[in-house]
Amino acid sequence: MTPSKINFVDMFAMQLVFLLSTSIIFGTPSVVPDSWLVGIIAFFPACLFIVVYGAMLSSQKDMGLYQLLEKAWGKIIGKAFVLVYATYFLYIASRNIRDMVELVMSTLLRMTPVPVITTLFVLIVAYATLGGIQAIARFASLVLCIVIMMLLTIGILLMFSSSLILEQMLPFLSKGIGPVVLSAFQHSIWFPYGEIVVFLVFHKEIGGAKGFRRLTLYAFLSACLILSVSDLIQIWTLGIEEKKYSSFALLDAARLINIANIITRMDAIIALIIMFGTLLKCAVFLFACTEGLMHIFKGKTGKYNFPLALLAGAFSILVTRNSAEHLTEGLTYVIYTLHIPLQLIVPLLTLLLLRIRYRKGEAT
Amino acid sequence: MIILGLFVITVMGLLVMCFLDMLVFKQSFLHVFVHLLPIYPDTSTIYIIAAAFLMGAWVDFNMTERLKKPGKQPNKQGRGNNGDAKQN
Repeated sequence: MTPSKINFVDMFAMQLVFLLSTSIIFGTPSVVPDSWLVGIIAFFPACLFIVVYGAMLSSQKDMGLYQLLEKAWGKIIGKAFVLVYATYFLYIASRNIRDMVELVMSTLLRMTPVPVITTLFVLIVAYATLGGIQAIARFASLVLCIVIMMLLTIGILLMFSSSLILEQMLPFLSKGIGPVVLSAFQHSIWFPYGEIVVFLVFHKEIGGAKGFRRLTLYAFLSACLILSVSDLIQIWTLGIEEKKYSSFALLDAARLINIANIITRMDAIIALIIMFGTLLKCAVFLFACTEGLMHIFKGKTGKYNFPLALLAGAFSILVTRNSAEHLTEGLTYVIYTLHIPLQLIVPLLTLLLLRIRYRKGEAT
Repeated sequence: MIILGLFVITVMGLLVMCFLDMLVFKQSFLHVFVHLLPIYPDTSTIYIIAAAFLMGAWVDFNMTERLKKPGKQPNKQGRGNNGDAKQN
């Protein structure tokens, strides 16, 4: 399949839904009282990713993440890094599937066995990736409309059911700005903003370095706003303390909707948002993983999709033993052992190597 | 090569999960690895992994082409003509 540039709106929608999907539930850990500020503060250092990744793409023409790794590190080490990134993408996809399954199990399908939900879901993800990144991007526009419409609906319905109490956000900055900034650096930069590294694989479709910078900046800005508003809604509805101990705060907030005892139980809408978002996010990760494996082991397009999707499904069951471990592992250990090295350190070193080995004007 | 790719990424994925479980539970590699293996008590995962490898093998060994009976080539043009003839 020959890659072609995707429509700007579709690509923007894909990045935005990618950033929002699971982070709208797990995004800002409520370790600090003013979690809504964390998202806003995290936006500024997260722009560093745009600078680093943009510089990587502009250092060599027509090269994506995998080609750049091979160019900078040499054939053997480069291919080893490609394999590491492919595994990383598959692992993150499996974590996202687990997020979705946890939510669905606790809200909608309590009696359905986990392997059944997982297998059916990953088969849909694999089917979504068969059309390539263009098909995923077109699907993203539709998903973005649904997600924004549903979030607006929930906000309005909460307002009409008198559940939004603005005083619940007080006391403002009770422990000072320090913990908020620390939480932004410890969690929110790496998840969801840092996961944008996956889009380096689709360099041709996003229009090179220039397109990537512009697109990602707009997506970051929009995601930051939507996540902060979502956090604010959660705090206004549940209060700081209840939000802190809630596993799915937005879901619990949506449960409070009650208009004349007619419009109730709107939490299913949140589950739908997560399902659509996870579907898209997993499709992007799976497609990137497929590209990585095709880069190393060769093979035709579309041959890896279904087996890899099933593997991601199996990994999602194995990845953690219970929900508590899943959250602890995801918000602490994965950040330090996988996100920071693969989102920042390796790209920075790659950029440095590319700058040293292939200076401007010299033959490449 | 597809099946090799799947095998490598499965091993890499299991190693990553083992490594993270070692950090979370502060247990030895062997202990964590035995816990992680999808053999007991929930065997469903092993079937999913087996299905993935089966799919990979099917594509890798070109089974769809091999299972086609020799000499039976679909002739769309001929079928079309027959259909036309029947209509006439």
